[in-house]
Parts: sequence; structure tokens; C-alpha cells
Amino acid sequence: MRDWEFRFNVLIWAVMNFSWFGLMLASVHLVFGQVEAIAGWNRDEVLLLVLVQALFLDFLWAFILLNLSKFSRLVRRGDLDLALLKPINLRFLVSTRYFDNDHYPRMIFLFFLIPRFVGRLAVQPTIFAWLNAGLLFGLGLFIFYNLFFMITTTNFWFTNLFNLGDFCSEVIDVGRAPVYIFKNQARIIFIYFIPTAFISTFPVQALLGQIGSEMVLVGMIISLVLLIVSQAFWRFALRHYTSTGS
Amino acid sequence: MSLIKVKNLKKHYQVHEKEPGFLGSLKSLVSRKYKTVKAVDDISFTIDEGELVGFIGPNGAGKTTTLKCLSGLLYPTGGEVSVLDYNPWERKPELQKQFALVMGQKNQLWWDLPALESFVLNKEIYEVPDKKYQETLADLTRLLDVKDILKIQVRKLSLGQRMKCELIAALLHSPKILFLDEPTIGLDVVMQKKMRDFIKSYNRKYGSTVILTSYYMGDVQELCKRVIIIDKGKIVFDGELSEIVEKYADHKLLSVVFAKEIDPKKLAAIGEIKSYDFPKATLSIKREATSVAAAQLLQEFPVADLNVEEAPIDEIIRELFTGKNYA
Repeated sequence: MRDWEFRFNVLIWAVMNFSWFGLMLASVHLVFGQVEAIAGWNRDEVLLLVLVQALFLDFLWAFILLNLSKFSRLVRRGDLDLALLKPINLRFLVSTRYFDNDHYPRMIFLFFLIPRFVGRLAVQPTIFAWLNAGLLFGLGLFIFYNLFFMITTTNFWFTNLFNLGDFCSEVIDVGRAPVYIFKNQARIIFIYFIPTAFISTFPVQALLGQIGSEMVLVGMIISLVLLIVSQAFWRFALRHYTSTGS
Repeated sequence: MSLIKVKNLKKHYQVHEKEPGFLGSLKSLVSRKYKTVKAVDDISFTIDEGELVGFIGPNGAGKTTTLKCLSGLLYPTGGEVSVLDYNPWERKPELQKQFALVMGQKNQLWWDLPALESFVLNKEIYEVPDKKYQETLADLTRLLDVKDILKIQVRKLSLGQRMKCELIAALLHSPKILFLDEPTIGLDVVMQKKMRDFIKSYNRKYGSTVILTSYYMGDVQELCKRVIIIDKGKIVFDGELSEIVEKYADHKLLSVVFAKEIDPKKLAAIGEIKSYDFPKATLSIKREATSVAAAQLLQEFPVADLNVEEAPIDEIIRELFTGKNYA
């Protein structure tokens, strides 16, 4: 609601997001002008990967990243005081304080585009496949929320860490390619430790009928572990909050 | 009944000292020198229900740090605090719904939205029932006379208007305890008076307990019967405001109106001349010598009028802080 007070800003950012999206699609066409497949994935499959990754990024920015980016300012300026006083879960409050409306237009567009695009593919997903893909996508969001939240929490010590939003976007960009371009230990890292595979590879594979529910179980376990660790770390870090002078 | 109990509270900070300039910054990157600041150093006090207590001290005395420990914003280094029988840094919602902290230098209102939006948000967070919210909002709006500004963006309001709205946001859930950290800072004299009147009437009407920190002695004199003075993290006085005069004012003021022109040099022999603008003069006299000085003035000078007054509280406090006369 606050952002809608600045109407021209909303419009400009919407245009910019669509422009970036166009560039992403253009880069895929450029690559496939030279090769037939990437790690066994054809052009349509990689395009679908890009669409899902873009939607993931929109969700992340719209609901999560803006809040995490602003957290260092809350700590540095002592504005966290006001949040700490409220009878509401502090983590919930700082994680959901802002919504980034700039990403809604592209998000809505992708919601319509992705099913239409999938409809053109040879493999037609079942309802179960869509549910599976949705679950994996949601788990990916939850996993990365917890991972980035832990990084954000270090602001209690480092105060003005770095531009978290840009850093997170760079990490998410890894999800634009299928995780299978990585080999051996790298693949393990990007599936289980910095699980970019959950951003787009697994949801797309679920849609294409290449994986079942087993990765949902893996995602749930990773999510639970990260939630417990991030929450414990957050509680520990809160004790070190020193506010600012009067 | 004591609502707030503080026992041996300590809060120490580790701060690093940085040399100025580029070389200082470079050195700070590699190696830092830390020192311990004892912001609050072993203080104890209790506050009963309905009290309106002034918490005063020089800059850096530990006032705001104490309030932040009481409201659970900071974990103390040591000691015990109980607010409404809760441990404040556990941040239990049951406690948080019963107190409010208003900081004169911080805004809780959303800057780009009207104050009413922030009120609605607070209503939901504090789970204030609709009817109670409407009644409280109407009451506070009337008391603070802000009906016309509630739908205007906060950033377009004046400082005084914003402070009034901040108070409303803090009081919507009818807290039992109010921590006010410099609520009148930056306000003009008219607005300061309005704020004081409001705090006084709110305390009287709702029986809420108020702890107020302020640099303006006017706030403390007008609102507080009891005062806690803190300096360098330690409490140096805890008692009635009138006791400060008895304990720390070692002089009185004699205000004289002369019937005829006099020689100021002869006047200086009686006491320290604070001001002389014929026909009026003000002398500062040691407390024990007041009556002798008054008699001497009446005998040796053509006095039309003579008044004996206590030194202003703020002057006593100032001398207290600068002279550190805490004996």
C-alpha cells in the first residue's frame, strides 16, 4: 500500500522487470543458436526453467528479499526497537513487513504464461505433477528464506553487512540452468546445501514427469533442518542486539 | 503495589574507538581497540502503580538504556528486572500488551501512510477489540485534538502533530505502564505544555504508571512528584522533587526592588549578584546566611520590596551534574 503512493515508481519498476525478463529469454535463444542441448535439456525445457526461475525470483523479491535487505537498516539505526516492542513474533514481523509490489505484474504474467507454455510441450503434466511442482517450488522458497534469513541475522554483529538483495539474486541466478550441469561434489552442494535445484530444476522435472514425490521429502527434511537452525541462531543473535543511543 | 522492580541492574557495552582520518580507518580494518562502557551500573529501584516518575540525568547517564532494559529491548549484563511480574527480555506478548514505550526521537508510524493506517495495524497487532479501539481512538483524538490530521501522510505532518499521533499509536491498547523517552524533545513551548497536560490527564484518568525521561526540567517539575537522578550509570538520588532542593540547594535567591539608586559594589558585599538592572536585583546567598543577609539589606539599603526564593530546580540540577555534588 505504501508503494502505491508512488505510482510512477511502480510503473517504472514493472517495465524494468519485464525488460530483464526479455533479456533472460533472449540469452537462452542465443545459447541455443550454438548448441542443441544443455546437460541433456532441450531449448523448450531450458526456457521453462528460465520461466520458473523468474517466477521464483519474483516471489522471493515480492515477499521476502525486500524485508531481509531492509533488516540491516533496522539494526544499524536502532529501528528494530519499535519492532521488538510489539506483541508479535519478531521474526514474522521483520520478514513480512514489506511487500515489493514492483514484481506483481511480472508474477501475474508468468502465472498465465507458464501453463500456456507447458501446454505446448510434448509431455502434458497431470494434476499430481502440477501439485508436485508447486510443492517443490514452495519448498524452494522456504529453504532459501531460511538460508538468507541466517545471513541477515549476522547483521546483529556486522551491522551493515552488504547488499543482501543483490547477493541473493546472484545465488538464485544459478537456478537458471539445470543443476545437472554441475558434476560430483558441486552437484551435491547445489542439491542439498545451497539447494538451487529446488528453484527451478526439480519443479520443472516434476512437471515433465521426470521425478516423483521423493524430492518433496528431501525438500521437507532440508526445510525442517534449516528452520530449526535459523530459529536457534536468531534467538541467540537477539541477545546481542545493542540498539543505538537516544 | 510495585509494578516495576529493578535490582542490581547492569548493562555494559563493548565499543570500539576509531582514530579519525584515512589511516585511522585503515587501522580499524585490521585491528580495533575496544573499551567497556558501563551504561547502567548496578541500579535498584521500585515503582508503584499509578506513579509518575521523572528519570533525569546528563547526556550518557544511562536513562534510555534503563528504559530499554525495562521494556525488554536489551538483555542486561546483570541484575534482575520484573515488570508486572514478568521478565521483560523474555518478551512475552502478555507483558508487551500492557506497556508502551514512546521514544521522542523515533517514529513507529509508517512514514508514507496516514497515521490512521498505523493505528489500524497496531489495533490488529495488539488485538484490541473493535469497540474498544473506536472508543479509545475517539477519546485520544479529542484529548490531543488531532481529528483533522489522521488521514494525512505522516511525513507531511509537523513534528508536534507527529508526536501527538505517536502517542495515540502507543496508547491505543490502553497500556498500564508508559515509558516516555524524551517525548517533548524538539517541540515548541506551546506543544510542550499540551503534551504535559495530556500526560497528566492521562495518568489521572487511567491510573497508568508513567516513567518519563526528559532534558526539560519543565516536564519534570510539572509532571513528577518523584524523581530518580542517574549519572554515569548509577542512581544518585531517588525521592521527591522537593527533597532535591532541601538536599542539594546550598543557596537561596533574594529578589530585591530598590526605592533609590544604589552602589552595586556595596551590594556585592552581601552576596553574589546574579542580576542587577535598577531598580531590581537578584542575589544568591548561602542558605544558612539568608536571614542575616535579608536583615542587612533592609538596614543598609533603600528596599521597596524583598523576596526570598529557592533556587530554580533546573539550576540545582545543572550544578549537580557539573559540580557532581552528590554528597
